[in-house]
Amino acid sequence: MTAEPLITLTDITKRFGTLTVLHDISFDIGRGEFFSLLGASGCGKTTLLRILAGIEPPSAGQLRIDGQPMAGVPAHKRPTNMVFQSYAIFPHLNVEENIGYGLRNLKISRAEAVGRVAEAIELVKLYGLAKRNAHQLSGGQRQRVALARALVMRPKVLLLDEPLSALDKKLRQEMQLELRALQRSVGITFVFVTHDQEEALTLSDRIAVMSGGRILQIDTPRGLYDRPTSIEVAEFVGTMNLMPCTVRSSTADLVSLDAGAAGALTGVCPGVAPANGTAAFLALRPEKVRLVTRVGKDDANSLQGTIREVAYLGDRIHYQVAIAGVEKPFVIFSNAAEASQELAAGAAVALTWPRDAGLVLCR
Amino acid sequence: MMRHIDALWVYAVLFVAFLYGPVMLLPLFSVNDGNFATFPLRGFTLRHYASMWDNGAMMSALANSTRIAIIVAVTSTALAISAALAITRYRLPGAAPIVGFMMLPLVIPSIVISVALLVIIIRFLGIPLSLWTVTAGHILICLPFSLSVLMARMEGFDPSLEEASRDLGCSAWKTFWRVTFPLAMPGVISSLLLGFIISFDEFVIAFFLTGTESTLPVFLFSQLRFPNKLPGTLALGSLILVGSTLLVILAEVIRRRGVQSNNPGDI
Repeated sequence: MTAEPLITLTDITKRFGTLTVLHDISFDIGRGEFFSLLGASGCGKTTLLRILAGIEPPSAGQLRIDGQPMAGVPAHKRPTNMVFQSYAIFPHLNVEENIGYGLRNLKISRAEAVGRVAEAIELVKLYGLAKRNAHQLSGGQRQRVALARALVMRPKVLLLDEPLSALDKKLRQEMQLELRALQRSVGITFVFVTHDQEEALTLSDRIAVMSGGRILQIDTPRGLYDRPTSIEVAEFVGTMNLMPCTVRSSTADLVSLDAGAAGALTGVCPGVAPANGTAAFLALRPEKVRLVTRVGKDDANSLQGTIREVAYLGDRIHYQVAIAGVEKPFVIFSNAAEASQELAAGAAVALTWPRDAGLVLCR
Repeated sequence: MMRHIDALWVYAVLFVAFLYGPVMLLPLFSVNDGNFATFPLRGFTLRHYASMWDNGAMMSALANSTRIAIIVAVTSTALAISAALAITRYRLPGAAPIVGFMMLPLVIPSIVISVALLVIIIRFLGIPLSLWTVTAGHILICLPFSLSVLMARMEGFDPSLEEASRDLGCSAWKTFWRVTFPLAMPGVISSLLLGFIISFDEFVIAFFLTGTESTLPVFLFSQLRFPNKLPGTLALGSLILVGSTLLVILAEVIRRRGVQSNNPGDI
């Protein structure tokens, strides 16, 4: 990411009648970045993408792309192109005509247009399908045509609206890798909308997690996973175990918590530490916790629990552990090679983790 | 195997006979070698068909009807395309009542429409009756048919196709010609054929609104007073019967093909 952002959104708001679907959205997207908008359906991510494309006008706020204000610039004059969720392949045109559709609107020679189409067909690996009709294509091929049709325009920004959601799992994983490689090779900024957190983590340089028309957090995949700033983000990205606590005291790098009957616990706070006495949660990732039969002297944090379920997944084992006073059982992942045979359903166990492994989050 | 003849079978045969039997008399008498349309038949001839071309009044009525039908089909289709676009692409306040209003000529008896138009054209507008007034009346009754065919077609395709076209640099106008119109083509063709047939066959409005010149149905009606001219009109009637049937079948085939393909753009 270079210093000067390619896209700048300032206080973008969108209302449909009395319903506000986007509330004062402000952030930047860098040049050449693979940026994802992640959220459940109805969170406003697609609307935001359509505002970037110029298909929907924002109700308020400013949008700049490459320094140019986009207010009043219609979709067909923006340096953006979109891959639609339905792919929107023109059914009356063949593959080649679909890909070349937009080139007629650029001031380029016929020869150059033909060359660009051939190049795009190669780029998305549709060799030999140039004359195929749209309805003779498979889902994956349609997706490639939609991608080529947008890329051939050489946009500054490529907008992708859940482009992989219609594909089956195996094809989707293949396309994820290809999409990432493609983005690196063309160097175009991608803005990618998805509801699939795994997909967002796999593909993106940075991810904006959205909910209810607001941005909850923008960070790298690693940052979102390791340092979620809210319980919503923590639960949306990966699995998170939550232990209700009260803040007892806090120093610059450690928060001491009172977990009632479970005793004293410690954790770190990604933002400003909450005031003493505040109700909070200690959030623990499943792989940060160790299951032991007896608590050792040097274990900083520990909880007592009972194993409910054991699921053997080959490389690792998933345990569900019931903790007194916690509604949802904890989910613990452990390496299958290291797991003890004694850890069977019904067994009483202790959960331990380092002093800074848990995050202190408030509702 | 024994041939199975039951009451239902008899009913079906009678049904078809009553429906199409009278119509079949037209071609039958048109090739009968006699000057009156009566039984017994006298022998085969094509002279009624041959003499048809010499009948100047009949030929000019045929030309009038064809001209009107083409103008009506094109105009009502063009009007219906814009209306269908507006209704299916934009959230119009009061769209439902507007559509209902445009569909109204379907249920109003054409005699009522004719009288109303006659009063308006003569009393309020002061326009002399001519083939143009007939054309206007026909556009009014064809519009609901064109509109329902085209609306069904345009509701059928993915709105993101038009958005994709805009996104790829086409203005609204270019998008219409490069995406919307080609995709609506089956609907456009069946609307044109329907409009042509309806206008060509229409009698009541043409009878009320025409001036000195007549359309074919009006001309045929006037010929009924002269029994010896009947075989000639029967010959023409037979030809029209064949032509109309072919056109209707064509319109239906095109419409069905548009509906059946899962890709709304296949023509």
